[in-house]
Amino acid sequence: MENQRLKILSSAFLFSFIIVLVRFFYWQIIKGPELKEKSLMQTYKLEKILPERGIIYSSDGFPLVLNQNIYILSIYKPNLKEDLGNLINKIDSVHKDFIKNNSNLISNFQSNPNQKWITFTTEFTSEEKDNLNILGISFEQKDKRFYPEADLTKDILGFMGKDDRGSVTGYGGLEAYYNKQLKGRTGFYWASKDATGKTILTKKGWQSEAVDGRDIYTTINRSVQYLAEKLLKEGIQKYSADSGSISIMEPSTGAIIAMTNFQASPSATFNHNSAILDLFEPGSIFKPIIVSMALDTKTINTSFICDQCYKPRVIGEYTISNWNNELNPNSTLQDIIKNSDNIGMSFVIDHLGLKNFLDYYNKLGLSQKTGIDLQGEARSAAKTYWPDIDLATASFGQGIAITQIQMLQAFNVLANNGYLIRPHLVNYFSEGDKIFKPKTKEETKIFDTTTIDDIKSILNYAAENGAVAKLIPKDLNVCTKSGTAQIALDGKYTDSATIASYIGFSPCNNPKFTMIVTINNPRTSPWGSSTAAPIWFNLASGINHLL
Amino acid sequence: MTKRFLIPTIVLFLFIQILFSFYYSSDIITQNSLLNDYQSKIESLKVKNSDLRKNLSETTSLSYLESHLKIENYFPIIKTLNLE
Repeated sequence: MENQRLKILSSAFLFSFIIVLVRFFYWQIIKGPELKEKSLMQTYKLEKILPERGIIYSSDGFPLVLNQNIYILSIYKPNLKEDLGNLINKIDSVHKDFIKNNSNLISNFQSNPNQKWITFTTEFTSEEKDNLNILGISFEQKDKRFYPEADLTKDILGFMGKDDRGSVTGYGGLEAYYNKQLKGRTGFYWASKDATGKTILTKKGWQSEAVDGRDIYTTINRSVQYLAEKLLKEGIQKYSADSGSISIMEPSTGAIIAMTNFQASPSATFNHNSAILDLFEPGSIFKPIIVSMALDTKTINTSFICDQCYKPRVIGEYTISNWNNELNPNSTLQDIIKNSDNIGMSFVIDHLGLKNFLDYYNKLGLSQKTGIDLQGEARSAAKTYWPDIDLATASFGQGIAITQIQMLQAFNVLANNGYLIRPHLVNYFSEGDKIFKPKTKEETKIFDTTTIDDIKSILNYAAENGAVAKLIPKDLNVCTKSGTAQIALDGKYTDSATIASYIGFSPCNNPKFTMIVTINNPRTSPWGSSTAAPIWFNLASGINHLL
Repeated sequence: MTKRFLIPTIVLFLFIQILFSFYYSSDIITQNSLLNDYQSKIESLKVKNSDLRKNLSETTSLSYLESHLKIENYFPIIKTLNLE
C-alpha cells in the first residue's frame, strides 16, 4: 500500500517536472527569440544626439549668430503638489509677463478639469528653469538662434524656420545657402537603460557620433557694416526716400565687406536683401563701363571729342538730351563723364557698336547671376531686340535692368586692374581644428591695363572737378561716378521719382574698397550727387580709418 | 575524509560567489551612476558655456557699446572718423 502511494507521488512529481520542462522549452526555445526582442525593446533605447548648428562669425571672429538654449515649460496637473494658481504666480515671478502673455491658455487650463497637460510656447532661460524646480512641471530643451548684434547683417544672415516636414532649416541669406554645412549630422545612441532610464555601462551599445555643423567665418567687417547701416538709415530719413542699399567689396578678392538694405516703410519685408533681389536701371553710374568698353576695343581713344554735342540728339521719334538740359559742345571723354553728358555717351556707344557692347556686357557678368553665396539672387531677363534708341539709352544706363551686386561686380573690374572677380561672403569654414575654403572661380581678364589707367584718370578728374568735388574728404583719393535714373512706371518714365546712386573705389590706385550706394525715390532732391553721394563720402571717410 | 569536506567546500564556494556577485553588481551600479552623473554634468556645463558665450557676445556687441557708452565719448570718435 505504502509502496503504491510512493509510486503515485513519484509519478506525480515526475509528471509535474516534465510539464515544467516542456514549458521551459516552450518559453526559452520556441518563444525565446520573440521574448528577447521584446526585452531588447524595453531595455535598449535609441536616442538621437542632435548636432549643434554652426556659428556664423564676422571677419574679426565675432559671432553674428550663435546658438542659445531655451526651455519650453509643460505642466502636468496630476503630479502637482501645490495649487495651480500659486504655481502660475511663482512662474510669473520668475519669468516676467508669463501670465500676461498666456492669459487665455492659463484660464482654460485652470477651468477645464479634463485637461491634464499643457505646454506653453514661452521661452525660458536656463537660469529661470533652475529656479523652477517644482514637481509637476517639466522643461524641454530647444535650440534657438541668437543674434548678439540684433538686426545687424539680418539681410545677409537669413533666418530659421521649419520646412514642410517640420524640420528646422535656414531661409534666406547664408542660413539657407549654407544650410547643409551649418546643420551638421544627427548622431544615434543605442544602449541598454535601467528602470530609472540611466545607461547600463557594461552592456553592449552602438553609437554613431553626432557631427556638429561647420562654423562659417564671413568676410563681413562688423565695424564697417555697423557704420553702413547707421549712415544708410540716417540718409533715407534725411532725404525722405523709400529705401536704399549699400554694398562694399574688397577689389582684389571679391570679399563683401558690408551689405545692407533699409526700407522706410514700417510694413517693410524683413530680411529682404534688395542688393541681390531687386533689379534697377543703373543710370549714369553705368557710363564709365561703356567708356571702358569703347577704350578697350579702341573704337575711341582718350582724344575723343564729341563734336555733335552742341544739340540734343534725335533717334527716330525720340530725343536724347542731358539731365540738366544743358549742352556741352566739343566735350572730351573727361567732360562727358564729369558733366554726365547723355548726348556724348550716345555717340560713344555708337562707336562701340552693338556687337561689342553685348560681348562686354556678357563678359562683365551683367546677363547672368554673380553667383554670390546668398539665397535668392535675381537675374535680369535677356534682351534680344535692340533698336537704335535702346542702344543709345543703354549708354547712360537706362533700358537695362540689373541688380546692385551685378553693378558692383562690373564696376569693380575697373578697381581690380581689369579683372572680373566674383563677390562672395564666406572666407572659410571650420569644423573642429579643420579649415575648409569654399570653391572660388578664377579671375577673368576683361579690360586692358591701359584702359584701366585711362578710365581711372577720367573718373578721378570727374569727381574732383564735378558736382561732388566739395563733398570729397581731404584725405581721400577717389574714382567715382554719380547716377540718377528715372523709374519706369506703367511703361513710362516718371517725372519725379528716381533711383539716386553713387559708385566708386578708393584710393584710385590699389583701392581698399569698391562701394555702391543706391537710394530709391529721394524726395528732398532726385539727384545722386545730392543724396547718394554724401552718404558714400561719409561712409568712405569712416572706412578709410577702419580698413 | 573527502566526503566530510565536500559539502562545506561547496557551501563556501557558493558563499564566495554570492559575495563576489554582490560586490561586482554594486560596483557596476556605482560606475553607472557615476557615468550618468558625469554625463549630466557635461550637459550642464555645455549649457552654461553656451549661456556665457551668449552673454559675452551680447556685452561686447557694437549695439550694446553704443547704447551704454556716454555721449561725450562719441565726439572724439566722430572727429577721428570725420563724420561732422
